[in-house]
Amino acid sequence: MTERSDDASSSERTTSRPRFWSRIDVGNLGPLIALIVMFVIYSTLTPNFLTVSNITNVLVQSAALTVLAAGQTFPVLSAGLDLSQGSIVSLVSVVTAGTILNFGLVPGLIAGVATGVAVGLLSGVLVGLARIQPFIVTLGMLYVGSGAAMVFTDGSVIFGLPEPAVSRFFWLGGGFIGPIPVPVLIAAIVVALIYFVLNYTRFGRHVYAVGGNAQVAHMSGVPVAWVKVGIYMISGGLAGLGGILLSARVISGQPLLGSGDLLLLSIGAVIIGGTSIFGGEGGVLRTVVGVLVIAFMVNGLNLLAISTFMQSIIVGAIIIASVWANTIRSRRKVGGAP
Amino acid sequence: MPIFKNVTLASLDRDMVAGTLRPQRERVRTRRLMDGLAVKATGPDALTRTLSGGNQQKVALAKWLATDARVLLFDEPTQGLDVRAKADIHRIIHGLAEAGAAVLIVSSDLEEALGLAERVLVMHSGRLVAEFRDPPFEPEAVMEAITMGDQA
Repeated sequence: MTERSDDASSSERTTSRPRFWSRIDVGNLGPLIALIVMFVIYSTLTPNFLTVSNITNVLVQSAALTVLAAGQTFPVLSAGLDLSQGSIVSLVSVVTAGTILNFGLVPGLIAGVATGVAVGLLSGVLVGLARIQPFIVTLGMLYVGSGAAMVFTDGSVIFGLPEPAVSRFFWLGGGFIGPIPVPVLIAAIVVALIYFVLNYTRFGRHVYAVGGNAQVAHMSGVPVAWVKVGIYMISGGLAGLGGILLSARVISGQPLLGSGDLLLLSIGAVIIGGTSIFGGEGGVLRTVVGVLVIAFMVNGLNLLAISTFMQSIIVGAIIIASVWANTIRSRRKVGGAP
Repeated sequence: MPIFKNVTLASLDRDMVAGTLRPQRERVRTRRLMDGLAVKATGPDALTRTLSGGNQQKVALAKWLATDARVLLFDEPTQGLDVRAKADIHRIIHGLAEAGAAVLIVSSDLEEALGLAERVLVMHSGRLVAEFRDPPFEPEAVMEAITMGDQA
C-alpha cells in the first residue's frame, strides 16, 4: 500500500505527467516503513504474529477505529480537530440499541448514523458559521454527547435486543462474507469512498484548500463556512458508523462505549499516518497506515506479553516521533527550495 | 498544497468530467500556464510554499488567468518582488491587456503605473484628483498631482 505523494521530489521537468515513482515522496513512506519493520521484528520474535487468524483479528478489532480515523482525517486536513468522536460513539451506541429494541434493525442503523451526522452538523455550524475554534466547539460537544448518552439510558446499558434483529446486528460487527470479516469490508468501503471524495470531488479539493489557507480559499470562491459544516458532518457521521460497528460486537447499547482512548487513537492514527496538523496536506490512505501502525504495534506487544501500561508509553512516543519526523521533513523541504 | 491545486482552485469546473475532478487534466492545464508565466518549479506537483516569492506570485496570477477572466484587478502586483520577477509580472500584465482584457492596477509604484497604464488616475486623501491619458506621461505632472492633491 503506497500512497501517491502530493509533491514531486524528483525532477521531471518536461513531461506533464510525472511518472508514478517520481510522485512518491520518500518522506511520506516513513509510517509505511515503520509498519513493515514492525512486521519483520514481531514475526521473528513470536510465531503467533504472522498468522492468518492473528492478522484477521487485528483487522477486525481496528475496523471501527479505521472508520473513525477516516472521518477524523477531514477536520485535521482543514486544520481543525474533532474531539467529539468518542462521545458520539457512546451516544450512537445507546440510540442505535434503543431504536433497534423498539423499531427494528434498519431504523436503528439509520438513527445511529443520523445521530452522528446531527452532532457533526451542530459542531460544523458552530465552527463554520459561528466561527468558534474547532477545539472549543468539539470539546463542548464531547461533554454534551457523553452526557446525552447517559441521559438517554439513565446511565444503564441497553441489553436484550430481540431476534432476529440481534443476529443481523452482530453480523455487522462480527460476521463474515466468505473469508472476509464484515466490519473490515465496511471499513474498506468507507476508506475507498473517502479516498474518492478527497481526490476526485470539488468538496474534497475545497477541504484541502480550507486547510491550506482559509483566506485564500475564500478569495478563490470556496464556500469556507459550508465546507467546514460538511467536514464535521462527515466526521460525526463516520464516528456514528464506528459506534454502530462497536455496538454490534457487544450487541448492546453502552453509554460509556466511546469514553476510553478511542478518540485519542483516532486523532493519533491521523497524525501518525502523516497528515499535517496544520492542515492542507495528507490523505485517508495515510490515516489507514496510521491505524495499522497503532493496531499492530499494540497487538505485537500483547503477544510479547508486554504490559498495557508500557504500551501506552510506546504509542505516545510514536505519536510524538511521527510529528517530529514531519516537522523536520517540512523544514528541510522549505529550506531546500530552488 | 501542490501548485496545480492552487492554480485550478478558482476554475475547477474546467477539469470536471461527469461531476468528478480529473487531476491529470488539472496538471496539464497548470503546466501550460506555468510555461506561459515562466514559473520556476519542478512541475505542477511541486509544493507552492517551497517556491520563491516571485514564483508564488506567479502561481497566484496563474490561478486567475486560469479562469479566463475578462476583467482583472491587481492590487500592488509587484510589491516585495525582485527586479526580475517584477519585470516578468509587468510583461504578463501587458500581454493580458494586448489580448483584450480590461486591467485595473492599484499601485504606489510610480514607475510601474506610468510604464503599464494607458490611463492613469491619481488619488489623494481618498479622492480622485487627476486623470492622465495617452502615454507617454510626464512623471513630473503626475508627481505634482500626487503630492499636491487638488490644490494644484
